[in-house]
Amino acid sequence: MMAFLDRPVRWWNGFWFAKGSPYNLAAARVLFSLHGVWLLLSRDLPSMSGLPAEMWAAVSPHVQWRYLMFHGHPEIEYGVQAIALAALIAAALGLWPHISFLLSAVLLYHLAPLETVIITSEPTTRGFEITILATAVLAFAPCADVWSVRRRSPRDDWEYGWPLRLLQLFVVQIYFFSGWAKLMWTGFNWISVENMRGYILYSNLTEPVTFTKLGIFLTGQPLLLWLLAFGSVVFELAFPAVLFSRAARYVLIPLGFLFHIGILFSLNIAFPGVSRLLIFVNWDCLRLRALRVREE
Amino acid sequence: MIRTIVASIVFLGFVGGGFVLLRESGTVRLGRKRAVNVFLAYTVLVTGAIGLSQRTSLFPFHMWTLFGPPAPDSLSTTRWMGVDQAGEEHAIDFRAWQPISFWELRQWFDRRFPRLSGTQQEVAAQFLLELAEHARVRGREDLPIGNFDRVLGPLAIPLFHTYRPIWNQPTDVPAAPFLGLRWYRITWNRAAWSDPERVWRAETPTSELHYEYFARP
Repeated sequence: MMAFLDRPVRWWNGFWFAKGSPYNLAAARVLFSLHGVWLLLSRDLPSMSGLPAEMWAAVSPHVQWRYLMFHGHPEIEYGVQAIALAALIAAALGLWPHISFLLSAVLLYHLAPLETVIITSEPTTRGFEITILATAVLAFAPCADVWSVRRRSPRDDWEYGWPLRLLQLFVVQIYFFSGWAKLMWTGFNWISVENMRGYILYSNLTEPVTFTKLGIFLTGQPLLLWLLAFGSVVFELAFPAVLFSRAARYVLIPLGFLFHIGILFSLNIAFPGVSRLLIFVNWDCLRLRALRVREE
Repeated sequence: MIRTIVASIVFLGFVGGGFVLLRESGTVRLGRKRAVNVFLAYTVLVTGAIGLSQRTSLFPFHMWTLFGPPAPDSLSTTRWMGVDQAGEEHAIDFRAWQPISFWELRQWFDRRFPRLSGTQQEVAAQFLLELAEHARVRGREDLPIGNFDRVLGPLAIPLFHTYRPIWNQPTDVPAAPFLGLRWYRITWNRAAWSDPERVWRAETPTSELHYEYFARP
């Protein structure tokens, strides 16, 4: 009766429960926890709680309760941040991974909105969203069986596969959904010289920015602008291929780094999550190669 | 309100699903795999629905509308100027406003500040004047401006928008204290907008005083 479901179910199981490597998952553990530390130490979120009440005037009570984030307690927030940092460092070392990652996820969920609290309760594109999701997933995964202060006994291979694939899916969604959004919001008109030129001018003129040479050059190159617009949409929509194809990873991951470098120099946008592309690297393979070189 | 409730439930569901996984980790394999399947299905469904519908983000689930809408067809921005005793205006380094990120401050000033009462506006403006003056003093003394790089220095993650510091050495920083702040709305007209050469030369921005504040003696 349910025969028509056989294929999708087989595909689903084949994708999520394929063999995984404890080393690749451990690499993701280190990467995401250190990225969280890096983000926290690059901002001063607790101070936002100490802004004048007038700047918090538009923050509704239900938003404050949602994040348990209240005005006028920067010293408490510094304490919370210290606990979050300790939890993330413990997670990176593989100490009590369930507790340390869960604590990190919950505390980051509480701290992250402080960055944008004066205008919105959704601190998107500031770098914390994927970190929170990833730390929550890692809290429930066997991510500290290797490359950890405390080595643990190995599990079934599939236990190391699905968490990494889910983290990779979160990263893929950034690119795919932003390509999808261009078509949803603007349609194929997004791929036009005027649109690209408009974005470059907007990003370069509103404030003094760090890089202007590439932007100035590009605004006078209509063909290049069109190719960049077209290439961006194609790249973003094609990015999910990295989940299924090794060849796609070899092409699209380096292209992803180039993509962000181009965006930095033309649009002056530093995407805080670019280092997360490293979770597509096969660290286990590199480890084995390094071992072989050492033996020789 | 509804979005807050929905977002909270969705996030609690995500974390709660994970707890079920932890509970199942010590039991028979079939139960564990089924629990993982439910968790994966929930996560894929939530992230997929938010991203594909492009209706709203439910933090930390984001719809990733990066540059989705068409580029704006006009260009306007807010510019803050510090005013000294002689009435001279000086541009202010973007780091002066930290811990508030510059982008957030600009959005707040455009969207929230006008809704405050006159007294509230003055309190907020006084706070911003103190931030700007504090940064000016530190800049003159060749001390770091802003606090985002207090721990990691140049290795700190840059802001999403990479603004250019304008107070790089003490001589770049105004010598006289700021006694007031002025906010200008800078607008480039559409004719210039359609001609990049003119925009780059910044020929025709109009500058309109939006708000000014001077410290009470």
